[in-house]
Amino acid sequence: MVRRIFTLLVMALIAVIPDVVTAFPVSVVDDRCQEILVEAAPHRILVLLPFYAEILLKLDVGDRIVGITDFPEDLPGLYGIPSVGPAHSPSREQIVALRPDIVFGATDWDGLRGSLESVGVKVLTVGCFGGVPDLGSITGPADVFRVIEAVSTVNPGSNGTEIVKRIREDLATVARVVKNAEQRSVAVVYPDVSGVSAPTVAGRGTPEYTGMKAAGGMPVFDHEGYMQISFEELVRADPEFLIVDPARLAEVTEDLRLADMRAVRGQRVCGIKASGWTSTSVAASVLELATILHPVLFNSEFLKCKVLG
Amino acid sequence: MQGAWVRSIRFRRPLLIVLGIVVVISISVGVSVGAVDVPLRTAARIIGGALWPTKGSVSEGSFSTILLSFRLPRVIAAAAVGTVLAVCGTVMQGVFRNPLADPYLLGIAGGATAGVALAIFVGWSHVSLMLPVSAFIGGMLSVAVVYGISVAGPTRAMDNLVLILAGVALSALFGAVTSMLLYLSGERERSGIVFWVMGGLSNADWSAVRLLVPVALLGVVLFRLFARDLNVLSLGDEQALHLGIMPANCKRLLLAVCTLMTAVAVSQSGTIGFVGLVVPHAARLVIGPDHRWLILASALAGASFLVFSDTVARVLIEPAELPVGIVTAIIGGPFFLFLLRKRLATSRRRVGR
Repeated sequence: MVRRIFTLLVMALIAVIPDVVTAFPVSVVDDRCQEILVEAAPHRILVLLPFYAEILLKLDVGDRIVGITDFPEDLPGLYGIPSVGPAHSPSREQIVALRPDIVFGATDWDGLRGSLESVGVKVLTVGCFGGVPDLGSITGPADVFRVIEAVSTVNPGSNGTEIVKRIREDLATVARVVKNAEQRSVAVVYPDVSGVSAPTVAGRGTPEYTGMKAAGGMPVFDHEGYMQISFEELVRADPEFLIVDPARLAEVTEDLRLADMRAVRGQRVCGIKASGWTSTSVAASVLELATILHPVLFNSEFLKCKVLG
Repeated sequence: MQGAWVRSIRFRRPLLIVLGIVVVISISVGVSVGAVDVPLRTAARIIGGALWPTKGSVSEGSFSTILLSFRLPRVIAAAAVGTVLAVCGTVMQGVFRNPLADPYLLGIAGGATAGVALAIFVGWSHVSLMLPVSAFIGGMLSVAVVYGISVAGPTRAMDNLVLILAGVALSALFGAVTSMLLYLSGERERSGIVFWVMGGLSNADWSAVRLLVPVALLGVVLFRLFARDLNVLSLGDEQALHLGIMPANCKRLLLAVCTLMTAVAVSQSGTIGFVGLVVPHAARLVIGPDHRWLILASALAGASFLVFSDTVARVLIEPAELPVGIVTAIIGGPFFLFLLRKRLATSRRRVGR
């Protein structure tokens, strides 16, 4: 009897205190294909890339974030958290001063990851395997899942598996709907900041390309990676739809050089945030693009493209 | 004559001592001031504990890591790079008898930048040591070509003017190569190349210090040994010949050492401008043109100038950092204008206007 009560008590403890009994230390493979051993659940997390911050907030462990970099967009839930500098060149001293248990998103760029690891700071950056190691790049939903799973592995009790499952289901739904649909030509374009140089378009291997295909679109630019193309080439390709970051929409719609493109004339220049392709909102971004490309299939009337946030 | 009292021998030694103290002060400020301020006493305790570890010495936590792993090697590297650039600038100005000469005159900066741009462009930036090695090779290659062109004449004698012009031409060529690589690169590579060009010491670690400090010290010692020859060279090649100096051989050796030292510095810190141009002039204003004193004064002034500039670069927009080359240009540019005005004023006084 005593033994039974004792066993029940232990089981109750296991259910209530997952941190104690969960399989720590855990091992996660990073974007260098190296195993990173995490001995205990991190309570002080430093995030260098906004994608990781977004995931941590979704996993309800945002309160463990003790430092971030200068993110391009403000994420609710991160107000008041000190910044360690710009993402491309954070302050190593401030990172160390914050005493993080783990740093997410440090890459090999400028030797940052190496110099942090050399002073005993644990770094975890997960992305596409076999890609350029110093970029920790996300090329599509598979990499998004990998990151979510890795981040949730080191944060026990979080609902990473549920999030991944929901995204997969949403993407599968879109895939089912657009499976036999007529493929509409589309391009994701990033105008040059200076306004003088040619725009950049997303090709194969980019998360935008994967998103366009998933949404039942036909990307008109098939080269590898991001490439700067001439205006003539963009006009010659003349896709039915142009996808731009919402903040840069006017630069495309008001550019006289592009006025004769059918996407511009037909008001089919649409805004989808660049960050949407590499975040937990990837399914939402794909769904919105699919709705734009195939309004009839999604029971939506054809709209002038709206800004998607 | 204005400034003559300063340049009299009596004051040179005390001046060097003062410059030495300035170096110590700038290093002290550099190690304690930053994105995370470390009190000077704590810094001294940490450094003392590291140099003479005793039982019972207490770790100062993250201060120790910040100071010993990041800040101290960076400050020492800044001092060493500043020394290298300043003494090489002094020597170049002495060899070419040209006040606009600097360590990058022979195209080292252009070649090094092109080497780094190429390494980043082809995706080798993540390979350990690839960037410093590419910078070194690019810089040395550029100077080798420039030297080859300068001795291509029928007498095989090194022609100063051809050397300078070839350096300018090759800098322009490598600049075009770099621009092309910048244009063809992705956004990330582009920013990497640009940041490298602006110069910075954020990545300096003890391995960089172990390379830079011996190079700087050996260079200063060697140039000090050749100080008399540099003084003689400033009189002209013919005069130098009459006074027992072989100008061609002497210049060749001095330029070779300058090239090597500058290439090593650039490989670790990128191209930091104005140190090699402005510091020798500032030192000359204070201590005079005698290279026996000028070399040492330039070394000390260069060290403290770059340490100071790096400290400013670290704290001005913290937690972000400015590339140190921007700070040296902001300080050096106006100072150089001041020197030009002074020179014009002196010339006017001489012609009695």
